[in-house]
Amino acid sequence: MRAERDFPGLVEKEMADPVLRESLGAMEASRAHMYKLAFDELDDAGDLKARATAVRRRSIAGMAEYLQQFERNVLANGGRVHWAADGSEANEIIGRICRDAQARLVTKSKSMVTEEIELVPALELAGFEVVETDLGEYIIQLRGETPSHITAPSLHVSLQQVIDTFNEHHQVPRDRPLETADQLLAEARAVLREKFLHADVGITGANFLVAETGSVIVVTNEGNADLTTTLTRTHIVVTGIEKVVATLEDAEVLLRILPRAAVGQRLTNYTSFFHGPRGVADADGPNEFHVVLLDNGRSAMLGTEFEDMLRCIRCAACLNHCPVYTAIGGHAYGSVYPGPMGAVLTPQLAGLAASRHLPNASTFCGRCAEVCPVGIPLPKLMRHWREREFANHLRPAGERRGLRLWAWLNDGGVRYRLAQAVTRKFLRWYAGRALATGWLRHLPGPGRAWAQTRDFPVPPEQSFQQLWSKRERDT
Amino acid sequence: MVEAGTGHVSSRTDILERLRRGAATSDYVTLTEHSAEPAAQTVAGFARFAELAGATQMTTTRVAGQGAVPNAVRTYLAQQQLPPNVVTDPTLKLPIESWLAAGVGQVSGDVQADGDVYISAGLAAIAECGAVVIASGPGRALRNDFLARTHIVVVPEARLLPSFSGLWNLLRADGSAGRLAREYCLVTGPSRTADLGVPAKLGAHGPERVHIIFFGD
Repeated sequence: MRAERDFPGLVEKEMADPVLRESLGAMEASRAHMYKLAFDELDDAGDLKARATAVRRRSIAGMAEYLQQFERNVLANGGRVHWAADGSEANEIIGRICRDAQARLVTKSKSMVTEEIELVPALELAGFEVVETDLGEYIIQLRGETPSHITAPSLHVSLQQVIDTFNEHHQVPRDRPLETADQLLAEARAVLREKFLHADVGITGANFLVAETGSVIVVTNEGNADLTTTLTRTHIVVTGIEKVVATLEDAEVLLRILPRAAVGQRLTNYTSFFHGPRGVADADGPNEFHVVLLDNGRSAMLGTEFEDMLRCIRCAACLNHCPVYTAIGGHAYGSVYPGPMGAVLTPQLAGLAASRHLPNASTFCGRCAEVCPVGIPLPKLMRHWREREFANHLRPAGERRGLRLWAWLNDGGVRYRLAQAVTRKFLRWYAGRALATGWLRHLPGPGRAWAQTRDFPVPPEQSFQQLWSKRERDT
Repeated sequence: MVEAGTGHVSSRTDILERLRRGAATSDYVTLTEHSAEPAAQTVAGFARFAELAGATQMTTTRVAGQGAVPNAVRTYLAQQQLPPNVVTDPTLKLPIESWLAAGVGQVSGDVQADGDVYISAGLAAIAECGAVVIASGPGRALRNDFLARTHIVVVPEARLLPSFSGLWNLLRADGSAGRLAREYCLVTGPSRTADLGVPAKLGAHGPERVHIIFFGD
């Protein structure tokens, strides 16, 4: 999976984007508000979260059994199940199904797993035309971009940029009116309608898989997953193995909580349960139904300190409430999964060396863990990655030496007091005329970068210990 | 059964083996907190359905019997300032004469144009979440429910289920009878997108308006 090493550079670039600043501000205000309203209206929101957590724990503990039960039921319903150890195996399986279906045009609904395995570029390379049908995904596909949010992929794109993008890519008269959101929607609807009607294969993800019935559950507000699947000859589902739950009642608990946590809705406008290919007397629907179960590092998390992350239902509540995500946006993380959940998942999927900055991109304010509907202790998991990063010597050598020096200085009373006194005196001298204001606007040496965006308080003349001893003497 | 997938039997074996090994050291194995029973729901009926459906931009009416459906359709279309022409789901059992009598032009079959009004035979409705359930099945094309600009779903009042449990029982019954539908879809509102800013837009790909008509015996 993709991961970008230059996190600091990306942060700087993204934070300079005024469009992003505005949309992140609006999103933070509205999504957090909607989340609060959606949970406040429940008699016992804590109880629902506890139930959802219990369902996820139970599903994960029994994953091997539930996946086999799911597989048996899909087969009984006339579908086929494929197991993929990693992204390239999944892409190979899907490519083969598309070739066997003699497909030309492939429509797909929104799926983070397909981003994770980079399915679209793989299919395009194999000669298929692939069209994203979630409107946000469609917009960024035209722009050649990746999602900047897991439930609002085109969050970083302004309305004007959508107009420019449609003008550039749609084969329509240039003099048509295209200014308002309604006009943009009408045009996207007409263009995508043609794609839906002529597609050969439809690809969806899955929000949940139900073992007892072999159901594949997909939630959308646009209804695009339903058009993707009813109008094509072959329906391919690709999803992570951790999405399986035992029963319809288990799925119900999660269906109650996912839309609330994600967008503050009680249910999404469409909640679809798919079971296989068309029945013999059905008037429409695909002739073939395939489910591709992707591992890609997930099974290796079970039984480790990271197994709590398998509970994640991809609602993005942790992104929406994160002071770091809402300041830097999704692209700065340089990985498919951004925000707190991405900071835990990315090192697992892409390797810690390639993504070591991400578990450090947190203030540990703990809001992500508070809002997580399935109680994932995200800061604790990020801390585990930080420990591994240190243990594996992935942090800069200078930092390790610096910490050793710091520990040595702070270990002995005399050394500590001496170091304090020298630093105090130096900084008061360095402040010069700024001494009177009480704030340093610049720092020398290793403090330079820190003070670029912050002021540092000028230290007082006497240390706390000196003041304390003086007080003891005086009384 | 294993071979029914593809040649990737080794990935299957490896994944299941890793999961079993992981489960052996997992904190999740000694669970005592099992309780998947959903919270009990308070009594919910037509009023609750209409309230919730209204909150998500669906409209609801209730008529005495199936024979009164065409008139209710006529009234609704007039309110929406739409021409009185509809495409009906072939599995909807209403005589042609009843549409004629109501002054509604009707053809049975598939949606042809983007602006069409489609009258669908709903499978059920769930009061506690304000959702109407449509399903694929013999003789009906589910695509029409998603292609029409105006989606009208007709549901017998007896199929208004109080809670999700009713739907799960229905699915299980269909499953054990070997006729689990290819798709069941819970609809709580029109096709909607938030990707073109605030406020969200209706009619993203499919219906711009959804109207539910319940009929009694």
